[in-house]
Amino acid sequence: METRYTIRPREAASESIQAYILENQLCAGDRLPSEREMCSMWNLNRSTLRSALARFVRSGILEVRQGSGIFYIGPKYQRKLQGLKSFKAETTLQARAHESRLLSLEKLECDKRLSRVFQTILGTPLWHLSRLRLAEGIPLEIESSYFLADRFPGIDRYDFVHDSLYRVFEEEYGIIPTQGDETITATRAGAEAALLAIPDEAPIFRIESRTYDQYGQFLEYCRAVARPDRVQLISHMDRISGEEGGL
Amino acid sequence: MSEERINYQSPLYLQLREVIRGKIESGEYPPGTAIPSEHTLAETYGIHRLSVRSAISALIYEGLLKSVQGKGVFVTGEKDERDLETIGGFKQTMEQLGHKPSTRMITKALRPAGNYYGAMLQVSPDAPVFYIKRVCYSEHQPYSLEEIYIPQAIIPEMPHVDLEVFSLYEIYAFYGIEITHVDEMLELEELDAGKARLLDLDPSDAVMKFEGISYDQQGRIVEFARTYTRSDRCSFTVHYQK
Repeated sequence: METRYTIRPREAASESIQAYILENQLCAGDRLPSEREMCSMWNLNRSTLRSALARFVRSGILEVRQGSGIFYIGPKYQRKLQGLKSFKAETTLQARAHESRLLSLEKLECDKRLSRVFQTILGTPLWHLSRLRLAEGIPLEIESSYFLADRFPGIDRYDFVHDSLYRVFEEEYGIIPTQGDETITATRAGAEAALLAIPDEAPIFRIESRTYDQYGQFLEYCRAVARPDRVQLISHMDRISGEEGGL
Repeated sequence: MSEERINYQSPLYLQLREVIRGKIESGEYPPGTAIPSEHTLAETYGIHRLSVRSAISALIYEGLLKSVQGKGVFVTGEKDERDLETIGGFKQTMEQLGHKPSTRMITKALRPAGNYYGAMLQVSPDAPVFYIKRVCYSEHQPYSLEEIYIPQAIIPEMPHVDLEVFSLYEIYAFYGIEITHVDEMLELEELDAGKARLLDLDPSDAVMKFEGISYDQQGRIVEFARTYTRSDRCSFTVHYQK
């Protein structure tokens, strides 16, 4: 029953490209060898190599610049799941994103959907903070947070382009985000496509989180959408004994 | 973001998508029932059938709706909420969710690690590695496609092991291997035509791609696994605590 697997040329091509990026520790913007060099290095025919390259281009790993060659776009930005261990940093993404843009910071009234999330009556005033995260000018993620307006009077005086929401919660209002959960689904871009500079209907990550404070009270509801060609989600799982998980 | 930015100036298909989503959430369209036909929706809202179709297609992709050839478009129940922090194989995970799992082996064979998997598994490029490719089903519906690479040195007896009878995690346990941690990465990716067919999807439907490296109690790398999971079948949840 000792079967030997014959690696197909296509697989060999993808593996060679990935290994090349790893072994040569390519950085964002580094150029790959020419198609002809790669074919002779790995003993591949041109069309096999091209179809493998095309896949990496589609998934946002490589980029073809007309007339100058094939370039490595660089590692995707990693967004750590359950990484809200470091609440102050909000997300590792924020630390790596070079720029945040404020889309809105306004008071609004709970609609049907939000009143169900907050378990409050319709019309309860909420703050809505929405930010676009970018790196090197490329949009990565839109984050929209909602929290009760009455608990955070005057929060609109802070500069959320540079400041962290959790820092403000904690240090300015004494309310500490303590636990929560985060749900990841795949969906298609709707109205946010333009802001993220992706085509309408392109697949995107949706990350929905609910956070509770030190009193066990519901604190914040956040919906984020992230570009999958630029953002990857990472997690580190440990075998956990006992129900409650934890970290 | 999507919902709250939708207003009367938004494209009609986006407006309709949120109308339908709202009706599903409020229970006006209950699970198991068909929503009104494309034609009826187009007539009711005075919009083009193509707009209706795009409104619906995204909800099918998200798994809120399911299209049944010749019958219509139906509201599905809640999709599986999978806990990202629970380490476990497919079989175990599905059983915990109360679903009947099954798998179909596509490939189980030895191959040299090669430069890439050699680097991922920290073995030499010539080291023999088991390559397992299989389709996982939940209640007989394709759920995920797994490609698993296990250095032969970890379980030399692997060629004689029947993975139709035992799950990989059961096999690991037989050989005293306990997976103690996994570093995992999640991306969305479009499948090539061959893989899409195995999952009964169109190649344009991006799936959730997990890549994970599993370590045992001695800190050895036991496997590198790549799993393509249909995004309409489940969502993933993580809990955090300070």
